Amino acid sequence: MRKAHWHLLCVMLAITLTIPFSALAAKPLIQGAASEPRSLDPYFHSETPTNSMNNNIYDGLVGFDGELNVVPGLAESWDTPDNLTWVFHLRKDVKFHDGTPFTADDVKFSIERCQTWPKSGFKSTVNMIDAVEVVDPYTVKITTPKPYGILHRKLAQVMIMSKAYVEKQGDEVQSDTPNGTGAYKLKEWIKGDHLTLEANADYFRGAPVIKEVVARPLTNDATRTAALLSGEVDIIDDVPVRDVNRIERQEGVEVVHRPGLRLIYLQMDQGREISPKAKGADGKNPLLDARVRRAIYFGIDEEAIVKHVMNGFAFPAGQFYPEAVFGYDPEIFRPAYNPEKAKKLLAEAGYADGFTITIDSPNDRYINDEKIAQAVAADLARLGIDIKVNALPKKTFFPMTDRLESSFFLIGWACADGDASGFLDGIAHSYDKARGFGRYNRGRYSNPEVDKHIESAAATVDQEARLKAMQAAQEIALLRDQAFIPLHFQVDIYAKSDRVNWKPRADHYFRYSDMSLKD
Amino acid sequence: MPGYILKRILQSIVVLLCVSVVVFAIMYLSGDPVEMLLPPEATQQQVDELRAYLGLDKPFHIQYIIFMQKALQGDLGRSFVFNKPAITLIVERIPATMELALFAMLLAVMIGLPAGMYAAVKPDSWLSKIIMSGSLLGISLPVFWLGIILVLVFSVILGWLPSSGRGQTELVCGIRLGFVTISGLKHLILPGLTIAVFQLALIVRLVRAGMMEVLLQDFIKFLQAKGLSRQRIIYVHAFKNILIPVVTIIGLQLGNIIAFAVVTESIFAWPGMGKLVIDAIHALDRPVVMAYLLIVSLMFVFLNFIVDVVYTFLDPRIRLK
Repeated sequence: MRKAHWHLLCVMLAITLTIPFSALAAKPLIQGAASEPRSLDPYFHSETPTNSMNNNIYDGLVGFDGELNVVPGLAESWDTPDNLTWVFHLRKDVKFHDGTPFTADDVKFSIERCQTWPKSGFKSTVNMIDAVEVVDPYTVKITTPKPYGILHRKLAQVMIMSKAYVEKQGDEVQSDTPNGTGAYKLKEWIKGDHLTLEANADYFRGAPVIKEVVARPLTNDATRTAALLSGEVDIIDDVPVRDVNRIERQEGVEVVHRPGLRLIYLQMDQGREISPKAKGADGKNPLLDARVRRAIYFGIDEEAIVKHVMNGFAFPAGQFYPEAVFGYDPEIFRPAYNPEKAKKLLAEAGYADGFTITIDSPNDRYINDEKIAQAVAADLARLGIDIKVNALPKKTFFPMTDRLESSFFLIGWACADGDASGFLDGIAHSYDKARGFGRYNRGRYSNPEVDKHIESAAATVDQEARLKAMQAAQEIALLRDQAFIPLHFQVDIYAKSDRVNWKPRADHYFRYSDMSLKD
Repeated sequence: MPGYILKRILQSIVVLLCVSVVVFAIMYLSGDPVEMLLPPEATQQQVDELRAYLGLDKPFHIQYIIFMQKALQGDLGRSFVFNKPAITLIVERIPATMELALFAMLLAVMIGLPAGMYAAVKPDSWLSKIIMSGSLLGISLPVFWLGIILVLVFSVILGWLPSSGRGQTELVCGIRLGFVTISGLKHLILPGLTIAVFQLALIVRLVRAGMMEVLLQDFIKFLQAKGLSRQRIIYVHAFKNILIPVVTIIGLQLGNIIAFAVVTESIFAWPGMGKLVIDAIHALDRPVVMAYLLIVSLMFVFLNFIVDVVYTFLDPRIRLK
């Protein structure tokens, strides 16, 4: 009798254990996300996980395809009658989630809120806009004070909100109850646990295939991998390199990857005779000499870094941005590792016996950042340079470089809008606080010729001319001046269940309406 | 008693003040949150505007005074990162953490007490030896390792239990609870076990040592001479006498679990306070960190008070002065 009870108990236990699996019959897509969105108010924080989620709930006037080409969004077409004016022709069949129709007033309201809301983290996308004019309910005219060739790329990041809704409900509830035009509506968001989206049947591009999406923040790398392997989630991002083999061994799941946008590169102090952490025998800053900078470029074995530090998940960089970015130059290649040439260049510059230098690096910002800095240091030590590695948490590292307390440091950059102007304006241009150039130029590289090309690229809406000017700027800054030392581009690694059909995007966004499930 | 309570309240105010100054200073010195709040493309003007808006451009003492003025009115500020009142963010997460901590403690006490007593009463039996070596293992295992191994075995290999999250939750009187659903209970098991193992081992060792000591005392011999059954001596009279240290440890450890279950919460993606705070520290989200530490300090003060009160019931000789 006793034994029979045990069996009964076992059976009951087994039944309860299988309940959640049968509950999966509705089959939502479950994503294990490395980070949670910070806010669903689309102007609060501009960072990838937040923007990625908001792009499912809202739409911009224009958008990016997977390769960062600008494609129509809420505007079906646009033209630039002159250098200072952009006219957007809006779709007439779009409704917000609450059923109200989308019109030009919403566009004007959204851009102005983005500019003036004190908490807006997107001001830099719209700060070049002078005025937004409603021509008729489906036509918007935007004017800029000077020619601004990347306005459409900037506007692709500005999600459009409903004027009536925001004015009625107030700013502070937008994150909890977003009302967009996008492919998905927010169903439930329990912070830290899950965010559930349901398909918008009235979406103007057609109702999405996947009816329900659950995004669960699994910030711990090992947890995320385990959740995929145990079948609790269907897709994960930021797969740690060490888990790639484990995932590939298992049936039913696969690893997918693609080159990302982020460049890892080195900046060097080129603005001061005496630099805090770089000293030659005479006490002067050796990095002022372009031959020294080029010697460093030739003296770093990037192939070995990619192979040993990055386990193959990176691409050696020969330029400031990868091929997907507008501004890439197909003529420039990375020279081969050549320590002999590096030594010769150092000797020519008068540093045959090397010099003393410290390389600063964050240790919690980029993939393997500290190890990369150590590998760079090992290579440079072989050239006779006396080098130390100083790795710091990002919250200390970034303010330190901002105060110019570093002479030589490892840092990253991603051209998030798919245009080279991000790097050129922010890093390669001379530091000019008043005009907003060179905010990340913390080695204070300055070449008026480069500045001229960058500014001429910024001063036209003719995309051919912009491309030429940006390529010319990079050619001087990279080939002639060796102002920066590109190392590699990171690779975005994802893993997914076989039942998910999906191709990763260059911007690391998840657009659930582009996905489908097999079964 | 009222005098005692007043004294405790005054003490805790001093503690809270000290905590607030120290934490505020550490957060101030660790760096500039604005640098991490804005995208890299942001202009210098945008950085300056946001810094001024958040009041971060003011000198340290002014920032602290503003914070205290608002805090005294019950406003601990808005999270820089989530744009929500810091206190709301934390209160939202309290049920998850409490549920996990209480479940783990319950597990530890229910297994630890009898196991420890058994090991004391029958020190030479093979089961006692297993219990004692098991407890040594339990104390030495690092939590993150244990958690990951449990996930590997029970989720990835066997597929019996979910590896992460809280599962299905229901609102009960406005509080989101997981253990009321089957899915929620199953999600509790692995993280609960991960936390419970150390506590369990601690309780086993504490109970065993206490019990062995008590059993040698004269009053036990007296009770035996009086003719009481061995069961009654052990489970009633000796048991009462070992409870004081056990209650102290349970009280302190419960506080520890609630405040510092960070590692477990992060391994199991448990949406509790610990995870929120670790993320807040990384992002230099000062309002959240401040609010959290003030709440946690309050909780410790309160738990210690409860422990003191429980003493008076366990041992009538103890008086609250």
